[in-house]
Amino acid sequence: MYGTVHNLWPTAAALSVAALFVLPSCTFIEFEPSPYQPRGVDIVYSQQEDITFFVWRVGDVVDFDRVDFELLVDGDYRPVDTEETIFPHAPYECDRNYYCLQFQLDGNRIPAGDAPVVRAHDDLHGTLESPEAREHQVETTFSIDPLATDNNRRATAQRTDWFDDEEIPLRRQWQWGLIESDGGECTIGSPDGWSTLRPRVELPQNWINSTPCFALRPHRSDGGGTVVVDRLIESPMLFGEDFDETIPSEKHPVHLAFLVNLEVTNEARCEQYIDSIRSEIFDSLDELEDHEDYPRTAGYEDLGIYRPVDNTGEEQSGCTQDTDHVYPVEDIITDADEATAGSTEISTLVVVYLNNLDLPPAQSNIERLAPLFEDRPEDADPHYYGWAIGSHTVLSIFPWNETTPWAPLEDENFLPAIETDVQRQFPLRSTDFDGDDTMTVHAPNASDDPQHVRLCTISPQPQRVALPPGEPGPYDTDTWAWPDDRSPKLFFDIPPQRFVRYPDFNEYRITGAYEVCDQYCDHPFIASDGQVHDSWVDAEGACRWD
Amino acid sequence: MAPKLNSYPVTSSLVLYLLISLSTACVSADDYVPPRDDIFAPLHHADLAEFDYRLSLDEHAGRDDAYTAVGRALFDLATCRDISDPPAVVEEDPEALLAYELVRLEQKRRSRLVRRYTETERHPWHASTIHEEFSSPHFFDTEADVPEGDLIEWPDLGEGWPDEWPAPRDVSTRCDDLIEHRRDGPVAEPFDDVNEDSLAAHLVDEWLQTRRVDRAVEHLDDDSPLKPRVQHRIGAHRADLVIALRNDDEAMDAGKEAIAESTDDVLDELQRLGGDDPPVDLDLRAAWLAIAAGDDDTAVDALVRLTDHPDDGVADAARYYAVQLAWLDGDWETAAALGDRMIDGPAELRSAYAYFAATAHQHVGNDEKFFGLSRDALQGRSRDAADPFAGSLYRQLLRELVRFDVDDRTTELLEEFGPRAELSTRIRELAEVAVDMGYPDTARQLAEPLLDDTRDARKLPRIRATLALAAFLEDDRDEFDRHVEQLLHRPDQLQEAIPRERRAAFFAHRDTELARVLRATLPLMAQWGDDPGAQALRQQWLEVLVEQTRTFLRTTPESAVSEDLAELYRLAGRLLDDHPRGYAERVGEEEPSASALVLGTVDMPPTPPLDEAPRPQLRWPEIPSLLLIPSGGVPPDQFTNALEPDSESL
Amino acid sequence: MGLNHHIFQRLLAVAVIGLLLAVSSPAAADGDDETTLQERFASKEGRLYAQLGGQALIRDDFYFSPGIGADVGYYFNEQWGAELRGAWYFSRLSHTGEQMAEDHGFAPDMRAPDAAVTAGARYSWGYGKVLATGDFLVHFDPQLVASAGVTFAEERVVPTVNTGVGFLAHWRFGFRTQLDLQASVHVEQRDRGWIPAFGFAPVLSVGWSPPAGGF
Repeated sequence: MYGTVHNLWPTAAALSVAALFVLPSCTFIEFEPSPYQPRGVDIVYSQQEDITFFVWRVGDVVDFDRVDFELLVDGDYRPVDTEETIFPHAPYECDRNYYCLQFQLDGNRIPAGDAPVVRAHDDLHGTLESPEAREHQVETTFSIDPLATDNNRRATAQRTDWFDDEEIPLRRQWQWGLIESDGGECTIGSPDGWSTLRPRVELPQNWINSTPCFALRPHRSDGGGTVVVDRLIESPMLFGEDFDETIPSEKHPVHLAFLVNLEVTNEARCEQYIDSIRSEIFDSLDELEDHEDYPRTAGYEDLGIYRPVDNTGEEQSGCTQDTDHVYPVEDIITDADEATAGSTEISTLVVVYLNNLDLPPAQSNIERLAPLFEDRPEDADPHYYGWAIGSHTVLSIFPWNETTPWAPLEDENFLPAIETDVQRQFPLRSTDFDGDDTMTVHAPNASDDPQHVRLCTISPQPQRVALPPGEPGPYDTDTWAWPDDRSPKLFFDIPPQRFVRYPDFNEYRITGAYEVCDQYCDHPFIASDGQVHDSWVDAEGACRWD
Repeated sequence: MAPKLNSYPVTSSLVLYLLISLSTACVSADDYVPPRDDIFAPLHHADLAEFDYRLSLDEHAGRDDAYTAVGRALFDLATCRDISDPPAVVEEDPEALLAYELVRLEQKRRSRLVRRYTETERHPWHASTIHEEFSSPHFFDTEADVPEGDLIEWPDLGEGWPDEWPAPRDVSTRCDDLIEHRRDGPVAEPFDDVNEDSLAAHLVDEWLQTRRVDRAVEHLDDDSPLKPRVQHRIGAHRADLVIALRNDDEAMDAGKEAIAESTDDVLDELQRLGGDDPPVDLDLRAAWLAIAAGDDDTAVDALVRLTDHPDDGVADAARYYAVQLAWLDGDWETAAALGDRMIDGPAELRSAYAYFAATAHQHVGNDEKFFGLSRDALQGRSRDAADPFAGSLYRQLLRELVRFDVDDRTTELLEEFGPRAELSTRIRELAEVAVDMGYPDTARQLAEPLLDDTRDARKLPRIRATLALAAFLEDDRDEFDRHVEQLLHRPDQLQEAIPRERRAAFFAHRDTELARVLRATLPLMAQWGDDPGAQALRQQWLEVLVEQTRTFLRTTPESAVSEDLAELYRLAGRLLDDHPRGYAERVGEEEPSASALVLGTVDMPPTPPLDEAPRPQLRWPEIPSLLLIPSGGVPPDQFTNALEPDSESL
Repeated sequence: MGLNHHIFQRLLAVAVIGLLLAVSSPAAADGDDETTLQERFASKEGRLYAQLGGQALIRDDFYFSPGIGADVGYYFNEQWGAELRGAWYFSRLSHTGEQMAEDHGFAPDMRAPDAAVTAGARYSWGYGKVLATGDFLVHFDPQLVASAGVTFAEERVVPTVNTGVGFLAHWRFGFRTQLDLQASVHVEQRDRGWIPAFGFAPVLSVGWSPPAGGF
């Protein structure tokens, strides 16, 4: 297609051109302090170092490639290069939204008068002058209190810095070294070599023998620098140990006896009930290891189905009820005793009582069931456990360990309810104390000659502590002198649990940490929280170890 | 500095900018030179918009020569615009002038055809002419095509820039309202009295335009191949115009002599153009003109040649005219020779042709051809009063047949002269003709079997009447009485069954036949003469007739023909010498009228009304195209009559 | 304030331009529409081009920002083209801005533009020619231009949109000049937040476009 012209275009073009001419008015400019203007100027003269420090700030958006700075020195503005000074350092972000710059000159160069001390010059903005500077004359700008750490393998200078204290930004490197001494006062001298100072510096081996002094100086670009020295204090020799022990438990094997007393006149359907319930229980027991929250295995044995017998002693179907029918409870107990005989474990006899009739059973049968609910010794084997699946009347006549309301087989909740009941019961568990509930504190392997021991953390709290050969005493301090011949022992008070349903069982753990001191136990040390303590042995509750 | 902005802002910035541009970009404005090739090609491809575009390019470039003018005239013709007189540049080029004048002629023809259409409303008005295409609003592509190339289209700003040329434009045709066009202006002598917008005026205009074409032809080189081509067409076309003028009453009223003169001139021209072996289209027109001019010889010559025309309609019409002309001249031999076979066409035409041809054969004694042609014309046809030639031929045929004895062949022949179902009618009619012509024996032989064969009781009275007349001619009074009584007999049970007021209508047939018998016999008896024998015989027959009639009138006063019969009864009674007239019959009677004498035997000669003979058109189409459309460039290397590529179909 | 004076001047300019536009609008086509054709002097369809030129970013931002630029583009057809443009600015503070800096240490809260990269589209909405001294013709396309990209202003990267009109004049042999008069929109993250700034960005370039399909 070749050009066609719509009459709308002239209007559109006119509007466009109009916009071109009107729009430049709208820039919403506000003036702000120029980021290039030097500000926050500090001038510090250190008598200790005989250096004048200049520190100033510019906006953090400044492009240092396009700006030059000048300092007022001796009445003249001299261009300065922050890379060419005593403590050269590139501009760095400081405070907030600022770059900090520093420059130093030897001697006291604090200018007289009110003239701006720093000026910035760039092509875009021209020359920008600093506002009035803060001036400081300081006697001492740094000192040290050296201390060995980490069982005397490393040391820290514990430097005090006036600039840090006054929050005047200054960045410079430090150097350290060791100077041998005779154990007397340290004198200023030169170490064998200077190393860069770090928060922790590695000490040479056997340094303790030479009782050295710790020397520190700022790292000047010309190699000099004011030196300070002080005695290096040995640190305590500490060895830590963690412990984490679980109180053991045992699972009780299950012996299932099904006592059937139903009222289901159709015998086939009655048997269907019995089979379905049994299968559901067995299947659920088999599938316990797939349980979502508490996977476990349960050993079980089926003692069989027990049906009432008539007064002639003949076993009945268990599908119709009669006052003459008698529950074979003795047979169950006898069979269970036989099944559990010879086993070291204590088993659980689970009597599953099936009775769907909403009437109490005959009084004689109630009496027959009573032994199952009598109190028995804790270690009686087997442990009796009753589970009724039946009518509400039946469920309420005995203190059953578990009850499941009866429902037709076709009820979609009946068999799942049985499965759920299996899952929340079996196997039963009991606490298995191996001896008594005590814990022995062993000396760490690295410790050659333990002098003191301190419990750093422990849970639960011990009831008593035994420091042989003394008798156990109450637990009221965490630091003890190490006993001469045997290890200290801790006593706990942990409640026993007996035949507790599997998910309801509480697993007990004893956890904690302790450290042992071999040497210099009254020397200062730095605790795990970074705090310096004057004496380890006196610092209750503070450990070098976490 | 003349800014030409396509719509557009001139800002100070732009001016500055343009100054900068100008300072460095010396781009000059070059004239546009359109290509010069076959400007007529788009026309031949019916692309009218493109044709207009090509013409306008030449006109824009100032190259509008003779053929551009011809092209523009053709464009105007195609879009139904007026076409001016040829410009001077065309006058200088004989071929271009010819082509131009032909376009004008074509335009005038179209104008005349449309004018004729407004009178006749005969669709389509442009049948078989190039106007089926040229004047159709839909034949041509009238939508402008977008030219190829990277082009700018400028709107009409009224500026003439040398580097621009006109854009193709959609062609608006005015052919939609052709009918609305009116001719106005004077008409040439001697037709200046005719209406300005009459068909005659158009015809005269067109005629004059053919003369302009003639003059253009005269300017051609003698050996120009266009010359015979155009002359032939123009000659034929001029003949058409003369014929049209002759058919136009208004024109004939105004200039009959001029038209007659022109007729002769054109006839001469056609004969000159046709030479020894004239082409059919010229022959057709020559024949027609010769008939019109009364030049029978020339007409017959041409018509004879045309009997071989491939169009059967034309060939048959030519044969018909040829036979008719010979017949009218009494040249039976020629008529018989030409009319040796039947023609196709409308029944009336076939009847007329058969009449002329068959009677010519009758004259030369060729009965077989006579019967054959008659049979061809009449076979299967019912009698139609509107076709007098068929009736005449039929009567001629019956008269001829009556001369032969009645036998099986008579019936066979009669069977072929009309619908088979109406054979009994034809036998009866033959019987009646036999009675008329005095062959009572033949009549009886024909009619008696009919009495037995006829199932329709309403037809019996007529047969009985015929038999009664035959008996009368044979002077067999018993037989006559018997037939008349049968005719008058009204069975009692019928009388009772039919209410009185309906009886007249019911018995009207037989009563009418009785009246016919009386009407036929009385004149015959009057012819018998006055010799005693004849008088005696007449008295005997009159008594019979009067008696029968009186009996009838008395018994059936309600008859539909009572009045007629009463008149005949009185007439017969007057002829009867001792007519026993009662008083009542005399009272109030007027003097006997002369009508009795008029009632002679009417022997109508079978000659049809020749003036009403059909005049079939010697049909020929209009000359499809009068145009010479250049093609193949400028100057054209050929001229075609119509638009390629299917010009042959025109 | 001087700002208002500027606005009046500009409104006047707008009025004048509007009037010119109205006058130069084509008259409605008459009944007998004699449109004309001509060969396009220089086609753009399917052709690449490259240009160099000068430009400026004019805003009330207390900076002078002249610059140079280079762009390459391609026309898909005679109407539509796409373009990639790079610009380098030589910005400095205006006199007022310098005064503010020197006297008060204040600077505009907008940063001075250093460079810009934009991609955009050009639309030729017409075709024009001017006859000069009766001999020479200037063929040009009035255009609408829109582009988007980023402007690098000191430490900031500023989303940028330009839109306006362009005038593309065709010379011989594929050479061309182009004047763009665009409104610019810069949305800059200042200390107060994202703030728009509107400006005027004229560009005058000279370039060359190789023939379609190569040589």
